[in-house]
Amino acid sequence: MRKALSPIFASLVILAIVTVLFIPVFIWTTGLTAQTQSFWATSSLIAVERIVIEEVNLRSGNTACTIYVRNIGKTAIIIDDIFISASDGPLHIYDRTEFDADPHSVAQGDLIAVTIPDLGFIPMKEETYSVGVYTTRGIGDTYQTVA
Amino acid sequence: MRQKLIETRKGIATIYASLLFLLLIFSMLIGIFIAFFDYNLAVGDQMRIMHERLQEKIVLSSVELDPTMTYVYKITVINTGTIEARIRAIYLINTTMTSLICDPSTHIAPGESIDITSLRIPFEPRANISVTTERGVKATEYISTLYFGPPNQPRYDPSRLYIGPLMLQFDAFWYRKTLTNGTLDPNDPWHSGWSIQKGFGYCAWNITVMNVDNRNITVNRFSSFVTVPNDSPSSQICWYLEPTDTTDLTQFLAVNQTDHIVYIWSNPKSLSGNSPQKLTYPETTCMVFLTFYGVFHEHDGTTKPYAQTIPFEAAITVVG
Repeated sequence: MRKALSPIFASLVILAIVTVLFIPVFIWTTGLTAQTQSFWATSSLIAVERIVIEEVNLRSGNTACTIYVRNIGKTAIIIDDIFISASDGPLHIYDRTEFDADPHSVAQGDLIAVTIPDLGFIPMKEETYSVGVYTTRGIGDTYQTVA
Repeated sequence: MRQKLIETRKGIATIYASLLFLLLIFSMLIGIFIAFFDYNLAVGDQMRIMHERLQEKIVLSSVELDPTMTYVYKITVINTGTIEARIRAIYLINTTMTSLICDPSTHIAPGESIDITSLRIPFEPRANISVTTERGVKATEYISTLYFGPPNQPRYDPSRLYIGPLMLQFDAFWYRKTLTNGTLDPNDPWHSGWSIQKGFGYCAWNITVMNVDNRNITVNRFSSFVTVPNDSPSSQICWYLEPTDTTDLTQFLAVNQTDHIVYIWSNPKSLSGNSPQKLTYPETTCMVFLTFYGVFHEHDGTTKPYAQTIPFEAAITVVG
């Protein structure tokens, strides 16, 4: 009696098929795991990230502005965006290319002095401005000051 | 024998595969669980930080100047919170700029105060000093307040009340009987106004005001004294002004002068004659509204319309 396939060859074929079928499953599961872990890791960082705007030097007639931001969270922060708006005026948005942060990144309890050398508008006297500072992970604080 | 061994090992591979699969699943779950556990720890940490921040409170107590009175060289900060605080920044805020003075990095125990010395902050009484902690808690105060003490609060005089140009003298308020023609009854003195007998009949009300504006005021005959019962009856009664100027039917109120205003009439006073108003309420309590109409006499000789309503401070009680 002739055999269709030798048992060894048949096992190898089955092994190959299972392996090939398992590869996408493996990739999917590891990707899912990595994504989930990354999500929780990012959420952990966001959970411990907090900043406070302590003072803002925004005065009428002066087109430069300094914002003092303290990191009160447990992770290092990088300032990413600044928003300044008057009570009835347009919203001014400044990204990292438009301000200087000294130091660039700070640990818990330390202070960053963020200087915007050119606001692009002249603050009006006695006008109230709302200043918002946001980190790369979207954590922020707002502060109201009278120019 | 060998054949038997092979037969007995059937299914072993399936078990190995299952074990490997379970290992894979468990390693995945452990990875996810560790990440989730870390997240929980992080949230717990952040809640602890926020809780500590809520417990932290500092107050600026005083400043001392150098002998030349040019600079603030010492600041006293009190920790009124329940947790140790660390001062991390001192700011000077004046009309021209906000500047970071220094980072003293000083610890203060709860309930203790600390002097931060060797400062060189320009003494500007109208400027603010702001002190912040490592947790971002801030205390701000005027340098003048810290140096000279808090300003004296204006003393509130409960016998006087004003919102607008006429100040009402609270304790100078009376009523009196009138005759049927509206003249004040010569046999009845002025009674204190807060309580009046039920069925008192024709009566006049007398209030005392001072013109606290910087312009003279003339009020006209439409100015009135209105009583509105709190409960029942629902009808309100209105007494109209007895003008001191019987030609124009007005009353002149000079600046900074205290005047009595008398209300007698059931309609705005007219030259053709009026009837006095009568109190007809049963036992009740009433709200009182004073409404003034007239003109301001501007400094350039012109007049400007004036109207004001004063809700009287308390109710009139009609007693049995």
